[in-house]
Amino acid sequence: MDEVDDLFHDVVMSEEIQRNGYEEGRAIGRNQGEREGKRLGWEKGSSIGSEVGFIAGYAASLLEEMKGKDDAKPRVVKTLEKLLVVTSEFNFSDPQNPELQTKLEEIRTKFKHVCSLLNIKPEASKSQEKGISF
Amino acid sequence: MGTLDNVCTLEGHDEQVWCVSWNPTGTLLASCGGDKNIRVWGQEGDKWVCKSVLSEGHQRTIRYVSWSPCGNYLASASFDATVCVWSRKEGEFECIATLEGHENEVKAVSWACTGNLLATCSRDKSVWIWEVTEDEDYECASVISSHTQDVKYCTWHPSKEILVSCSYDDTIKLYKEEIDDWTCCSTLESHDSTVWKVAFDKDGERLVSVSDDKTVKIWQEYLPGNKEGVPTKGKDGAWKCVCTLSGFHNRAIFDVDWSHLSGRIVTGCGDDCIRVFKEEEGSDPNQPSFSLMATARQAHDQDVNSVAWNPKVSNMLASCSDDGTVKLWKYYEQEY
Repeated sequence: MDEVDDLFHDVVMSEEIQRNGYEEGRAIGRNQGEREGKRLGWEKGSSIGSEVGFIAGYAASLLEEMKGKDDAKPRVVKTLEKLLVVTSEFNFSDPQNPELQTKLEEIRTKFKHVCSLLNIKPEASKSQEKGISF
Repeated sequence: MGTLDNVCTLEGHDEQVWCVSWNPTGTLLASCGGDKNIRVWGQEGDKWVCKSVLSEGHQRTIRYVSWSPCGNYLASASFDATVCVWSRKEGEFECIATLEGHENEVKAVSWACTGNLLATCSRDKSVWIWEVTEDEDYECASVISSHTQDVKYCTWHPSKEILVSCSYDDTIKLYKEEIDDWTCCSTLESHDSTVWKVAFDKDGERLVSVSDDKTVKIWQEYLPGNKEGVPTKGKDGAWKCVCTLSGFHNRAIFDVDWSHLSGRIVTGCGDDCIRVFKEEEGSDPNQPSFSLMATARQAHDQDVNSVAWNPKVSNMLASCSDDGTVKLWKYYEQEY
């Protein structure tokens, strides 16, 4: 009778060990994943932030400069103003906003437009960030 | 039924020929291709000859050429990411402007009916609209990033400032200017694969599109308040696919042209054939039927890249191919 008891005891024990191991591994994995995700988010987020910030600053300073000139092309001024509007509308504090990607594209597109009007090659200032893809 | 007769074969390009384009008076034909040259062909007596070769404009393959409505300018789009505008004076061509801005391969260029606007599209997924200023300068009026993939082609409405483009994302998009910016006003979805080309009919009320999915589709515009009761949004018309021609083409269809003189549709296909379609007389405009009138089998030795009806001679058309040749055809219809 004792022998049979021991046998069942072992089965119960091994199940328990397996469950504990699973939970432990899961916790470590989750922790690592969170850290990795945080790092990735920080990296991508800061890069997008600096890109949008650069464009906004660029547009604002150019616009200020143009205001003093009489020969400023109306189309350039108009496009710069539009670029400022789209950058100011960009939602920095809501990373889960589903519109973020399209808004970013809109900013980049308007920036290209400005560069073309001013005959500037955008490659010099363009960040390598292509947005987030999974 | 109809027949397509090969009138002549124009040789000269060293590599594949991507595009053929007639000037507005139908007297000159421009072609371009992998050899980075544009050739302009014209008639001398009964023979068609190469009148000029425009080289040194581009560093890479020239994908598309387009004449301005006045016929004095020719625009060329190249894989080197630029567009050149050539001015024609006393038969001589001179490059007067280079439009830069696209990130990579420019796939097509098109002049609006007024000649004041130019549209270009690229593998960079964007469509650019350029305005011609008074001193012949080209200024970017708008950059539109509406497609999610490579934009294959763009063209203007025959009489309005409405632009249409088609893409590797399987859609067709229409754009117009709204409160001083250009925006996409409709997206046409129905093709299952890349839409290679679109063409308007004479009045601009219909569109024909061809695709990698081996079908030809006819789209009809329904304006707000239409008697058929097709729902529309705001002031924009709604485009609806009213006819799909499938089973005629064995490979991807690369080009289509809708004759503004005869109403016939011609297609250029990867199966080396050229086909002509005609709308059946008395067919319901909301459900039109088109019949295949003629097929030129093995029209070329390789893919037919481009087909174009002559704008003045209703039964004449030009084609070009990967085989490096440009061909001129006469189309005849017999009555029974």
